Amino acid sequence: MRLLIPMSLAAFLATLCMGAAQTALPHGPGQSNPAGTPGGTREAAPGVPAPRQPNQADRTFLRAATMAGTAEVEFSQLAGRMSKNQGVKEFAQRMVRDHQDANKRVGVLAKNAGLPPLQGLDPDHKAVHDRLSKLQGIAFDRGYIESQIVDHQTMAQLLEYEIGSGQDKESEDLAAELLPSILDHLQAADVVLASLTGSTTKQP
Amino acid sequence: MVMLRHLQTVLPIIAILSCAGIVFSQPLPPDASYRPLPTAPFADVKAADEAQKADVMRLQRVLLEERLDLADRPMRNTTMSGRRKAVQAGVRVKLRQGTTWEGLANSTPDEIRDRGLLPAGFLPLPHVKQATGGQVFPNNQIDEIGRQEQRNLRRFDVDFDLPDHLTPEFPAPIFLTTHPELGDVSHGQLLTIKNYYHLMVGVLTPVQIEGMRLLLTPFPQEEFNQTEDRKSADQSLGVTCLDCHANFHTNAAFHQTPDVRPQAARFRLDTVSLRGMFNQQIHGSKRSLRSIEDFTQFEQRTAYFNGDQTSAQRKGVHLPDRFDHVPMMAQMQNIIDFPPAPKLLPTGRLDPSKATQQELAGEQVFLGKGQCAACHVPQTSFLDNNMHDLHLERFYKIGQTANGLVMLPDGPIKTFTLRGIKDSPPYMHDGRLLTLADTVEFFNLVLSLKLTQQEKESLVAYMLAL
Repeated sequence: MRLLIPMSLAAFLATLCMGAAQTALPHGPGQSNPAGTPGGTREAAPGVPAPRQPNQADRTFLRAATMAGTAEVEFSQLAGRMSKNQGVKEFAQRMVRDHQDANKRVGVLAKNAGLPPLQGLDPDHKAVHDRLSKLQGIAFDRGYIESQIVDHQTMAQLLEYEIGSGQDKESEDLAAELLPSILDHLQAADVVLASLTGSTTKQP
Repeated sequence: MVMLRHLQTVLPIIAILSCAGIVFSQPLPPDASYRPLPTAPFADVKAADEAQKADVMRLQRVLLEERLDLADRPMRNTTMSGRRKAVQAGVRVKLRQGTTWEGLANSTPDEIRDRGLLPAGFLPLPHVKQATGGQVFPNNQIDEIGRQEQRNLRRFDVDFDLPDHLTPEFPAPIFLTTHPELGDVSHGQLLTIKNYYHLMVGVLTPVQIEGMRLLLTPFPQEEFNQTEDRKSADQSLGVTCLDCHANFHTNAAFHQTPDVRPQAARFRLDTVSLRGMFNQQIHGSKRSLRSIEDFTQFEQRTAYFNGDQTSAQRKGVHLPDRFDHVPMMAQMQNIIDFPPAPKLLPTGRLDPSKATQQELAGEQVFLGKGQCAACHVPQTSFLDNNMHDLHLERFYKIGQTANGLVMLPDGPIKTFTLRGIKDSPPYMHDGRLLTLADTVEFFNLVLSLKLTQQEKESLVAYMLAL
């Protein structure tokens, strides 16, 4: 029956049903595998979960992104205060700017998902923060940048995980939007590390 | 001296911090690597998938049409080796608005990347349903297997996405190295478990016949099995090796690389032809398996079960015996020849007494300005048995998502043979390039060749003769 409906009309109706432009175009996350849809999930259209129903992957992502994003800003503010290297300071300023922005958006989604708000740094990040605070000079710079590389590698994988396994369209779309910047941050961190160590190998 | 003292204090601290860095980082969730068990009842999953299917296919179609010209535009007087299907003509990758091929050739990779000018058709191609993935068969294979075996290869969640005229001829001809005098021994039929014996007895050895039997026997696979975690309506016997490598060639069935996680990052994989395996020393686009025996043995772990041996165990993986089954399957694969190339000399060079002027001109470009022969070495079946990284990510910003696929750098990929290349569209490991003309434009850009239109056309003519 759907085949008899003209393509343009079908697309229009599909947009109305899904309530947003995200699924009308193939840019961004596609449909999920319904094998993982939690029981009781309401549908916007047959086979399509209604918005604002996070599954386990969404919640895991939002929790981890909140923790990582908070740490990003704290660590980078520390670096802004403590580093004397121009490249590191500029990188840190960019991290503060970009991640404060992202944190706001993640925060809204985390609140909608009913996740309890975070107070400060989580224990693991706190431990690294404390160790970093005791370093100075080149040791601090290297420690900060190396921790940034690890954090951004983890964040990139987490975003890809959300894009593939999430169910809440808003969270998936945010993940897809943030990923290119996170990979850019990763490349930038690598460039800064190269300059600190006098290495000539740079990422393309 | 100061540096050395400084280093002495710094090194232990760096060591401590590096350890701290490793200890600190939170592990990612396990289902980023391991396939989770389904949580929804099968009937609900099937209903949801079927309801989504039309929109899934529509989204992929929109993406394909944005990137590529899918029209049926056959070359005149040029068919594939079975002489039944035309080779498609022309560049199909669409240029972005306001760009020209010449303009791109004269821009730097940075300019192209920063201004988003790379034709979208050159970007990694998504699976039709990235989040689910799995093997997707073309309709010709589904119909013929249904007819001969009453085994159902149709999925309820997705269909094949490329138009038939952009895929290989079906059924493909079969050429044997053990009987070059016979030519195509397929009788114009698709080989299946139902017909292989009476078609091949007397032509093959007992070892080869047994190898073929195993290659045609269905075994459970991630989407086609008897558990509730499947995408076939009925509990399926599974799939065979030749369900994708139909007649030891390819029918353009695709799935996803088993070698990458998480799911969104797994690139699409077009099926390769099994012709000429006897000369290939590495197998798998990324894994560089060193022998056809290794590949045969391991394919159940990878194409069948996505590189997840735990999911495989649950669904009934077939583990062929390395000392007996595997060599016989390998021996059968090792006798599949490339299609005849009457214009090629034994050295891999064109015979000037048989080739046209345009083909000879193309060969000169291939060996010279085009730099093609650097990897596609004519005297070794246009292979170098190496993997190469083309670094296409110089030309696009990585990390963008298209229909669920996160487009990352491709990394090193195996050099593919060009013998019989006109028979196996689409091209590249993921099938993103629809015609040989597309491949010329692609490499023209990637290798900064600045080929003229005449040189590009002569390259295509040359490749048709291989």
